[in-house]
Amino acid sequence: MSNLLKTISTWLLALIIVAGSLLFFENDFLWKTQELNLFLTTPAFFSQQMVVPGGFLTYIGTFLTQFLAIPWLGVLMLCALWYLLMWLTRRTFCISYRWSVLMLIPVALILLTIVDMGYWVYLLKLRGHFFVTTLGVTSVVALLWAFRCLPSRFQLRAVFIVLVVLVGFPLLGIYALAAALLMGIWTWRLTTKGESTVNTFAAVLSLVAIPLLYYRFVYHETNLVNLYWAELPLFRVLNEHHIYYLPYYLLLLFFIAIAVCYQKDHLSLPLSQGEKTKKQPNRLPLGEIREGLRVGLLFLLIAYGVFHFWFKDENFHHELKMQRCIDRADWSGVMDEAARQQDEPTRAIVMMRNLALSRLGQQGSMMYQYRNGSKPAAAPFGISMMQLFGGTLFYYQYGLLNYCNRMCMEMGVEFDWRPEYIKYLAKCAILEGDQQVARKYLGILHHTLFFDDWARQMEPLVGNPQAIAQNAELEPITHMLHYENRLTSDQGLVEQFIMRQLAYSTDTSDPYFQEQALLASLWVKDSRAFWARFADYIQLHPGKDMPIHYQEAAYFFGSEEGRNLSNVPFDQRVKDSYASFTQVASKYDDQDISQVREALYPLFGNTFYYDFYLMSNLQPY
Amino acid sequence: MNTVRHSLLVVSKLSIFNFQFSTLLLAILLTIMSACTHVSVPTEYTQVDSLPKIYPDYVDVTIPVNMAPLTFMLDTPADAMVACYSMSAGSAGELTCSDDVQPSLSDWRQLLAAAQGHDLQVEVYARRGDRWTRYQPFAIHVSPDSIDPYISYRLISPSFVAYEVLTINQRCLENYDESVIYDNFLCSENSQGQCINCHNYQQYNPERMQFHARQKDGGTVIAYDGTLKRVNMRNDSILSAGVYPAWHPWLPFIVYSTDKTTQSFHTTNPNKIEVYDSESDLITYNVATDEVCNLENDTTEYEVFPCWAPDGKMLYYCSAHLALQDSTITKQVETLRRVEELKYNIYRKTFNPETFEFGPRELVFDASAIDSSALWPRVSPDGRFLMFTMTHFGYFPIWHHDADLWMIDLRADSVSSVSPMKALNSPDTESYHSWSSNGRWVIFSSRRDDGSFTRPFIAHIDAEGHASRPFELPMSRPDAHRLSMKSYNVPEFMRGPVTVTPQTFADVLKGEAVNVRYAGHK
Repeated sequence: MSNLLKTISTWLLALIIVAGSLLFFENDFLWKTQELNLFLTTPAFFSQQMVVPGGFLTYIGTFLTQFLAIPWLGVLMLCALWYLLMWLTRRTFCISYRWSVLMLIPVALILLTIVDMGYWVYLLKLRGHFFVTTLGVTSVVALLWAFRCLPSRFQLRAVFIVLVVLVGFPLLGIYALAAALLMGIWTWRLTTKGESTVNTFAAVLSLVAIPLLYYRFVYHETNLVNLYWAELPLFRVLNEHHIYYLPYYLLLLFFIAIAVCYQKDHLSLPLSQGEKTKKQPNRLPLGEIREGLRVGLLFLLIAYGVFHFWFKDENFHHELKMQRCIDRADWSGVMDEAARQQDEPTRAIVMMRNLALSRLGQQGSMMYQYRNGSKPAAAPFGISMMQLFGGTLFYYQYGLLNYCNRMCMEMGVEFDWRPEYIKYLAKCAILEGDQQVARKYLGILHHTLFFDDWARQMEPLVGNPQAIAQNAELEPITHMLHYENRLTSDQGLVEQFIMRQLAYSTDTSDPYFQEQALLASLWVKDSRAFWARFADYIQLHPGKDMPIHYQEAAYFFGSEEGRNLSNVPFDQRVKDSYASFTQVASKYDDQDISQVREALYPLFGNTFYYDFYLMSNLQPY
Repeated sequence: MNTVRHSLLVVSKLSIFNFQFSTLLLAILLTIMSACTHVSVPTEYTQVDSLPKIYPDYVDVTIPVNMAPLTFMLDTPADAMVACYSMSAGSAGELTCSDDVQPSLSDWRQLLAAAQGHDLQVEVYARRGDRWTRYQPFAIHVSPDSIDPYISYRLISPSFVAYEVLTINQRCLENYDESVIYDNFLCSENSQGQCINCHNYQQYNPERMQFHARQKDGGTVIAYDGTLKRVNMRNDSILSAGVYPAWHPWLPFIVYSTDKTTQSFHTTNPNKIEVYDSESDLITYNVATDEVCNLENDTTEYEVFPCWAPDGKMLYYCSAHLALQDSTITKQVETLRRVEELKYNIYRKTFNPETFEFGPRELVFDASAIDSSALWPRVSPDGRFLMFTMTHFGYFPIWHHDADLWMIDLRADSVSSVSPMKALNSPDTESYHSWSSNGRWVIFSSRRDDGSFTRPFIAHIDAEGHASRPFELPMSRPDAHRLSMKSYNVPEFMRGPVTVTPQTFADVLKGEAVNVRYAGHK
């Protein structure tokens, strides 16, 4: 096999593995990424991106990110760009085939900027981030190639450096600065000392002064503090999270290293020379084996590095899958995912699971069959995940449309407009009968490539209650629109707010809403609210079997309050279970709650009284 | 088809240069440019009795002679549209446009100059399949009264608590040029954001302006004939820093309301949010001496929205009376519970510009007597009319769908002098309004398009206070407002553009602030 074929096969193998991993393990992440990525086919959208340095990169980045709606296509585009980057890097720095495996390093680092994001996916304000780093680094390498190809006369290279920053900064942001910096370094390997001095001076001066000039005279949407970081994601909430910049530092280091090593030793040889070397006949098989081992080892090291830093948190992935299922109104899919839960769930998972159970009509008999919990999200920043993605979802699904609307607006303002928010806004407007504003939101989505179809499907629902009543997603929500109006605030506690609104709702016009109120009374653990909702429930469901958890709650509260329950036809298993619970629980008086939880979970984890006593005061996160 | 033919002809003539790419670009450019000049009017069509449904709705509106071109699009499905402007129905079209009607600036100016004081007839044709339909022509009335060349406004998403990018922009009304006066991102740093609001001018003068910045690098920016300063208006003797401003017409003197503002959210009410004060007062601020004085600080009165009469001898403002009754809860909680009792009336005080002394308050309009709340008093430049916003309760009408514009004839002395501005109002929200410097135009905020996003509308007001049908601020692309997720906030007329750059304002905000001195009660 020729060196060229070996290189191609190594690169392709790596890309196939990466593509397969992304498509197989991160399919829901890809879905979420494009749900949070808005690209509009309007001139105004282009203009809006161009008001910040690097806006063009954002524009192209958001354009490409939208193709993740067809995951294989988006990943194929990304891999094609990565192949281009590897090819460009090798050509630019004239790296011999035997070291071509090193070209996987920048790709691996860029891959890490994507797959180590985790919960940052909800929080990053850099639009098109999924492709921006790839596009930026590829542009840097392409500019470096052009720099190398320029003749050493008339100070052309110095002029080129200035032009790169002057033209590149508005288009590429920090990547233009990085290109200038690398040119300023690389020139010492390419040109004479005198020319190198001029080039380095031009580079330093350009990358310091030109952004400042742009700040002073052109850009009014960029703070001086962030000026030099344009087109880098900002991993800041309350504090800076430097660790996430590590791939970027390493990327710069990699290119500095190959620029410094250029033509200095065997690593970097002029291409033609390198190829000649490899065409020598009668090479010893031992050398081939050694080379193969070296390539294999480097390959494995890079693969291990990527695997190690890949964000693999179980709850994060469960949440994504459940969100995706809910988006498709696939409630069984949510429960299938719930069944795969190993770790303690986050509140969002518990809520999504309960929502699915309620849609399937099983919450009253099943909700304590699944593990309850409140594990904090594996995110380095102290922001409530429930608010970040749960606010819109749960307020919408529980019919608190004003709050969903509010949350979409707040998030849209904070993180820029995303298709997900606009879809929720459109659905809320349809359900509230606000036809004009519903058409506005759908009209915006008509200007996208991949949400246009969704908008067309929604359009017949505008001002058409009959069509809404036949829609699988919207119809259940119409049953939830029975809240009394209150002037209040959620204080950022989504779950508590919904449950409190529901638990004290007295409307009985819709059995589904009323049952949700009963379930919420179990959540708030308020016996007065429970008895009131329970009485309503009995009235609305005459002659029907009483779900087990309602029986447990009634038997528990009744026993605790000393009510006469002898005439109530409770299931014998409820009576036996509660009697057993009180007997066993008394042995654990004054013990640490977490130990008691663990001890009693196998016996009573699926009962209301276990939840009442042992799952109180869970952190909302 | 004629347009295409025309373009092809141009292409064939230019092909002799054998420079295909440039020719193609030129052909595209000419095709676009010719969209409003070489479009042929359909000769075969079906006439219908109805008016065309267009967006924005410019049917029967009155526009100033110096207005930017009114672009519009058909709001019903069609494969193509042709619109023809002429001086009278059936005459040869002076200006013909296709699809999204976007007349060129020069053609439009010529047309308006010719039509000054008369009507423009607009004929609209729509093609569906291969059939053309001609709608009933409608008129656009071209008033000889010109309008101030600039407006400024804050662009803000109709959000509730969060803000990210906020800009105070200015827009030339004679064309589509829009630029940023100040952008809060110039001072915002990551989690330390900056809110900006309440831009205001002394007598439409862009060189005498103020706006507030809150939180990061906060303060009030005062620009006065080339000097710039950041004023820290917080002082222990006043309720809060200045909020809603009113520049005296010629003195370096501003009256502000000071407000303890809170917001709460409706769970189901379509108004979605209530913004209310738990306390508010009035203060004065002397731009020259940086002195502040309390003007009104009765704890049972909620004073807000000061406004000067153009003669500078009368200060109008709003106030609601609410005596707190429950000492077991905070003012904020009690106000929230009784928020629907907050009914603002309009009051005024005399002012002596020489002694800077105010007279006692005098009731101008008792809105509470009709179970309503009157807000945003604005006196016309001739001093005759007072326009205000009325809603059921509270002082933040932009979130009240029932809010409408009303007007008082200050020369009349009967209750009948107060009437709703029926020509301006819609079933949805009308709120902030501002008179042009010649008093012949008002610009006001309305949510009539969709109930959620505020758009500026402009209407002609004649000398007797009669309003014409308003028109939405024209944009270079007719669907621009439909695609925008921002609201226009506090539209104000200006005689020219603000020339201070956003970066200069940012420098001022990042610099040292001037602290106000408390100088007692007026």
